[in-house]
Amino acid sequence: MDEPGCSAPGTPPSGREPEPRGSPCGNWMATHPKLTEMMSLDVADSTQVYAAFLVYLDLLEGKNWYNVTCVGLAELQLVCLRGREREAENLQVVVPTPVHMSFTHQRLREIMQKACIPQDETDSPLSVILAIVESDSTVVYYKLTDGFIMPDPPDDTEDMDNKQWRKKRRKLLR
Amino acid sequence: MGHCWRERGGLFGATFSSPNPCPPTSNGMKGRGQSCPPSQSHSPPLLKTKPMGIEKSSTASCRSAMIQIHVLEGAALVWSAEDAREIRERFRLVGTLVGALTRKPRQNARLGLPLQLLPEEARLLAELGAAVLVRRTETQPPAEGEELTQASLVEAYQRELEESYQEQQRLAGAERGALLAQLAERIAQGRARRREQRGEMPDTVEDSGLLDSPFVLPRGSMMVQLPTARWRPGRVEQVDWTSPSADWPHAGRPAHEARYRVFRELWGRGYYLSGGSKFGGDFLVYPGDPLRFHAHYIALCCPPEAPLPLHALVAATRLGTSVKKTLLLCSPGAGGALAFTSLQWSGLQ
Repeated sequence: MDEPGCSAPGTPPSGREPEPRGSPCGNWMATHPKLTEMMSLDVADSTQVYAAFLVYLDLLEGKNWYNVTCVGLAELQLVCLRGREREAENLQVVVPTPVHMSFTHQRLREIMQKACIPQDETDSPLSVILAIVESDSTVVYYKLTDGFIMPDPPDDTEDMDNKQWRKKRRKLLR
Repeated sequence: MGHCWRERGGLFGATFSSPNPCPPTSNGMKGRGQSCPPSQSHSPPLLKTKPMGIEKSSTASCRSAMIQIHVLEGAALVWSAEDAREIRERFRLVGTLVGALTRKPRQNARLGLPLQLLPEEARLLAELGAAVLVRRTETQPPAEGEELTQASLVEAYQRELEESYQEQQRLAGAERGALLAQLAERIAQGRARRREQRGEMPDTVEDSGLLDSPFVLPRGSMMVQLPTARWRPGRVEQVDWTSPSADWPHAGRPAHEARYRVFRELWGRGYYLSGGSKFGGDFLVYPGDPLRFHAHYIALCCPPEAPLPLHALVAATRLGTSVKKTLLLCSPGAGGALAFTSLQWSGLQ
């Protein structure tokens, strides 16, 4: 599939040969209704909108999320997405961003406060998923939460079977 | 000081009386602190201990002398084993042992005194009024009544050596005598048998002479004590931790002040903290003593306006995830309080 490079769609990429006539692909991204919807929100620049579009496609097609919608946050100048990971779960907020954008800690907290959906249980902390989009369309997802979140404990049985762990333990106990 | 044949030093010079360690879990010698409920940002800390509010009066009543922290070009060192122990047990500050062990010098697995403290740890102790920062000096006038010259110290040391030798000789002689008395019968039998073989008459009078021969302990066999703590401190003068100087340059530096704020806040919540350079962070945050628990968080102090490049954020979070720790961004927030943000891998495949 012909995919545009890192430049935003809608602008003709320079130096690219014209598609053969009758090809089923064409510049399908530029006319995708969701992309046009995001651009029409007119809150962010084209690179962020493009990143948001890629994350939208990845969430729906790649990760099989449900009910993914896009929301424009004017004061943050971002397009962010909301969706459910599984049908019965709560809505989560995903904030797409191109990799070259730099954030301050303060901006991250601002994003968390403004983009987050107020949940029914008031004691659950503010949390968003930051989706970082590389120039080759790789997306990595990292979860930001306000406050202290303990890491997941190690899976005990998994470690028991680990040969390396057993060797290390033998060495320690010697 | 007394006569102790055992060498002082080692880890803390005394048995480390920490509470019984967690029963060994399947993932090795350390536990994970899973019994504690996950903490929220506003709730009390994980441990059910009282918050550490040490007032000056209680400090003064427990110890007659303050902990001495020797500073040298920005490094804070504690040379006394008792002080090092108190710092860990009472003040929940860990530090790092950086000295060579006198009996096992050429290795890095187990190190001994001095205990090096982070600048934040030293400052915390000074602020609590439990410690003073000192530095060695030669310009201090001698204490009244005592002119401690180098020669007199050497003389005193030689005198002690000689006394120790005499006592060792006496004890060794007595032990030898007791041993010979125990084996006297067998020795006499052996002698008699030998005389029979040679065909002489048994002569019991000669045998007993063996027990009276003077015993001389060879100097080379003497046990020598190597003191690993100075029982009489060298000349020191106090250093003001609030103003920067050659030996304590941290005061007033914005980076240090920011780190200290975060350190103080996390320490105040009941955590144990140690240096985080092994994991690319500022501090490692433990729910309990680092000997018993793995760290839960890698704390990164960032000024609120400093830009964080995303690739650095990804690298730090990914490292944290692979070593089972949460990355904690800490910076002063609105209204003077500190803001903490946890970063984890989202787990989306």
